[in-house]
Amino acid sequence: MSSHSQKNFAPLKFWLIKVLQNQKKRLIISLLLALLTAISAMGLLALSGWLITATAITGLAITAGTAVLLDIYRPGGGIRFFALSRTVGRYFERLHSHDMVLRVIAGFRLTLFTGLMDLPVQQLRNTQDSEWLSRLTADLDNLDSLLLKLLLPPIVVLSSVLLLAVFISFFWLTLGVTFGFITLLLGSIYFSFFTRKTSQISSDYARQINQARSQTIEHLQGQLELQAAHLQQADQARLVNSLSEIGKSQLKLNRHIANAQLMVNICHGLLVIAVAIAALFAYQNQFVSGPVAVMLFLAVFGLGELLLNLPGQLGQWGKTRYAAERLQPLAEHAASEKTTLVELERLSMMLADHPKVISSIDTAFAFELNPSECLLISGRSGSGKSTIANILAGLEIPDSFITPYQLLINGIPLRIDQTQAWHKQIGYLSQQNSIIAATLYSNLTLGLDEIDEQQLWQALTLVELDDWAKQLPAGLHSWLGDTGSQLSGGQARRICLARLLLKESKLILLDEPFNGIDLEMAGRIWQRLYPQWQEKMLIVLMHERPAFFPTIDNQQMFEINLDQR
Amino acid sequence: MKDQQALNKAGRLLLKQLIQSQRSRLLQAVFMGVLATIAMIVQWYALAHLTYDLIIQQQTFAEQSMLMMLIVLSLILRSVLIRAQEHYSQLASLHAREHLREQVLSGWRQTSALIHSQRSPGSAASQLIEDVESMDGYFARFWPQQLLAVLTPLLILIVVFYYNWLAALFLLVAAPLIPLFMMLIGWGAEAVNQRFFYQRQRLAGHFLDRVKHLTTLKLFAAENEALTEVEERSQDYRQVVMKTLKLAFLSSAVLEFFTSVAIASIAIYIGFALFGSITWGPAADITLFSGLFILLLAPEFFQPLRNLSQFYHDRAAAVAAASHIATHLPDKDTNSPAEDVFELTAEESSSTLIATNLGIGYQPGDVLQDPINLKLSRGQCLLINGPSGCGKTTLLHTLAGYLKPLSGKVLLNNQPMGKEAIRYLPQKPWIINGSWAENLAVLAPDATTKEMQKVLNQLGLESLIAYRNNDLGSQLNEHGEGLSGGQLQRLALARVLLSPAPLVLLDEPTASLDTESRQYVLAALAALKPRCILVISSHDADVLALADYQLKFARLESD
Repeated sequence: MSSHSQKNFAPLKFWLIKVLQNQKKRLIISLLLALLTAISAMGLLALSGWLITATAITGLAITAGTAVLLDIYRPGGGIRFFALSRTVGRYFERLHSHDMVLRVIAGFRLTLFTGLMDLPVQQLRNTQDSEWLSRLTADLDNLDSLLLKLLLPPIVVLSSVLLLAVFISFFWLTLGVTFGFITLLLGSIYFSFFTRKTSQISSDYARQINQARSQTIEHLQGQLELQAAHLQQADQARLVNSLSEIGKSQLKLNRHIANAQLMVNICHGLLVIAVAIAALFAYQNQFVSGPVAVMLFLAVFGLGELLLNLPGQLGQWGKTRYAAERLQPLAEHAASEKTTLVELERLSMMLADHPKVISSIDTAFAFELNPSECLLISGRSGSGKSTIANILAGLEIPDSFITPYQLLINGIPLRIDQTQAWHKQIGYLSQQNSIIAATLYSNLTLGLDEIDEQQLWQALTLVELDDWAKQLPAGLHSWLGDTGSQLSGGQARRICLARLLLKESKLILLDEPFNGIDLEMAGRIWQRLYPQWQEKMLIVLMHERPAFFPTIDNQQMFEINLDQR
Repeated sequence: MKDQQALNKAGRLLLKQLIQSQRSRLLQAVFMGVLATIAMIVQWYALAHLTYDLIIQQQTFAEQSMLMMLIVLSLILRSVLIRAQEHYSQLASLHAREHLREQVLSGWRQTSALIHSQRSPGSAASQLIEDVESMDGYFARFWPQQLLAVLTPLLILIVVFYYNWLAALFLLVAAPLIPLFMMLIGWGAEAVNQRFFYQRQRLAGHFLDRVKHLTTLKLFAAENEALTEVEERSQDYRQVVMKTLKLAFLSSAVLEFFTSVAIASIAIYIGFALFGSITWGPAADITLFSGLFILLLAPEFFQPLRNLSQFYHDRAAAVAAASHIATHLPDKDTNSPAEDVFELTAEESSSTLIATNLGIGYQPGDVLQDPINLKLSRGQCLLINGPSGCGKTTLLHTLAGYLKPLSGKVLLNNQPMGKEAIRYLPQKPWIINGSWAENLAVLAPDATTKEMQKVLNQLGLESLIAYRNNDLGSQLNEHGEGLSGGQLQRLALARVLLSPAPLVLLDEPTASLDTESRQYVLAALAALKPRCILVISSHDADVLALADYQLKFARLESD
């Protein structure tokens, strides 16, 4: 029982604490505004009831000839005041609460993104993109329920019930205490039971939404192949299944909520009646006056609105907890420290027994490289070229228990905390093109502070993209489509090459640089780029040495063939 | 913005159609709601009567046991009826949304794959899933409440009128003012909400993109740029949402204000009347019973309107979502291919592909190459080569039916492209998050396990699977992590071998493949060739050897 409730509460606690740390003042203001609204609502009705009853009795008495004094102006003023305060209170409470929540979520978003940035790349690449997306956007959206539905409303209801109980106690202690005690006890029991019951359904619902989203994204990514084969509908059948699961869960959840509202309706009604009967009984036995009796049960009546919303609000518990659970590990991730690195003068690497570099199992893979030297690593697909490239780039760190390895910068091993500094010194072209959804300008100037437009054009010319760029609708500032698909493979590749040209680096690392570029153009581009990189260290990984590469006789060009070792 | 208005109109029309399909359920919900109102009226009648009897008439509880029973019964009945109302509304909403999703999916089937590729999958998915989910409020709550917000107050008005026409007048005057003001503000909220929806979609697409390229961003030390962007987008998001909310809340604040003022006025009026300060009009007839009864009914009079106002936000959101969805729905069912069963027509007697003066390109008037003429039959292979960016992929897209020819025509078995099921293998094969078997079945649905194993052997992949120890049930993942480019390409070919089609299009099948993979791929192409027409874009000499015809695309001179 206790471990279950811990599981239910712990992830939410984590985020709650963050909120309390940053938004305490705003929270308190929201609570006060909400209480003001609740009290005004109850007060409006209660005071009205009091007034009506008092005037009825007084009116009759006056007609009967008795002289009675009754101040009806002050209650009248009070009624008007409550009318106003209820409206104003609610408006500002809602505005304030929502603004607070949005700020909180924005802060969470940043925290998460920062956490992602600090995650080792290995973890990044092992997770599906659609899952990442769902974490960041949807889970964050779900987290806003934490404040608006799970925290504020129950506290407001609790406080209102307490205040009401105290108020009733002024007039009849027993009734007030009994009312408070029973309402709080029954309410707590019922709502915690309800929350527990619906929390699983609610989190299932959230999980199924994520799954459906992943599948949908997958489906869309396969359109080129599915459509030609007339298999879209068949694949959509998978989606339809997932979507109907979502529908079922939601219906189930809504049923529970509706049933809870039924219970609350009935119980609240019975409560009003019970208090009415008790109050009228008290009136008959002359503990309280008639007007007060009416006032009391009308005040309880006013509580109804708050209570009725609780099931719907608490029904979000599971969904919110699910989101909180998934996001917590990202935010908890400690920021890694980043340290500096010496300037690269000598690079050496040794790799043995790496499962993805098959040839390293028999003979260790090793090399040493100095500036102005070029190393060509050739080997068939699957021989581990990209693995070696990733290790060189600091994107993969082999487990040194399994894989003895060394990556030495000027004879000193590269440490994890130096990765960021290392990235500043290298220019890495990975096998896959990486065009971000932004302008051509942004894509070329990633991470660059100041860049002269002329340099940009120069780079574009070297990769033969200057004409193409000129005829783009907005030139350099044209948006490269959301999925970068307005580019052919070769054009995307060349943009990535141009990016490298613009970056300062001591080591240039190219993994299949001419993917998607025909041989002749590749040759021409190489003839222009190679001289630019004369003084740097150059490592090129390709499945075979192209004709236009300098021969290996050249002092400064080395080749390691992963297949012939 | 004329465009926006047209969009809204389309959205509202869509909503109307969906409502129509669920009409009976929704009306049942409303009926339950009306019955619940009657039960509520009885309940408060009884309570007011009880109070009056006890306080003014000085009767005892015992004498009023019938009345007390009536109170309890009507309370329970009312709650049950409200529950029944929920039941019908929820069902109506569920089915309406199912219906809408069907339409979206059907629309996707009719949209060219190229258009799909220009849209971020994240935002499209968000539309199908989140946006449609968000319409729940409109169907389940807002729509029934529209009717209830008229019927319930009407019933109450009649009852109140019976006891005191002046109080009824208060209510009557307050009532129309509220929707009027709400509408005024609501219109503004709708417009702002449109922007908000678009923003959210863009936000989803933006995040996916930055996450996908996080490694690149880190390599180029551009993380902080990205972080700043994320922060800025969050701020924009917050500000847009607050704008929407300010308006939405304002409209409900107006309602609250009028409601509170009306209740207060009624209370004060009744109070003064009972006191004897007011003697004209119906004031003389007021008693504690009628006064209390009216006071209890007053908030109930406004409650449906308050609910409606709360749900109005749902309406604005639904219209915005519907408008965006309507944008992506095709105008009318453009000769949709009859429910697509897996067509395997490769074994049919003959297939021919004929192109006559075919001009290809993306923009009208911007033909990428000189007109193309070809005639290919089953067992023949066409190779396309040329510099990158010259239209090789464009030709493949046109042959796949994703692009309309700019001039001339091209027919497969005398039908326009896209009519018959063919196979298209892009440069990067599509992989799903599933097992080998699932990855094969997704494009070769009729293949048996035995056939799959045979074909995987044929492509030299059996050792890979054996190494993973799990046979066809072992997992791949989205990036095809753990598989080399060559192995992925072989998987793609395995699919085609398992379910060939009359025409198979391949985009650079042997680019950047290791020797071993290349051999397998070439062998697979050779095996495939007799069964279909092959059109391959490639620079590979060995593929050229396979080809019967070659189409050389030249670079167009720049103007």
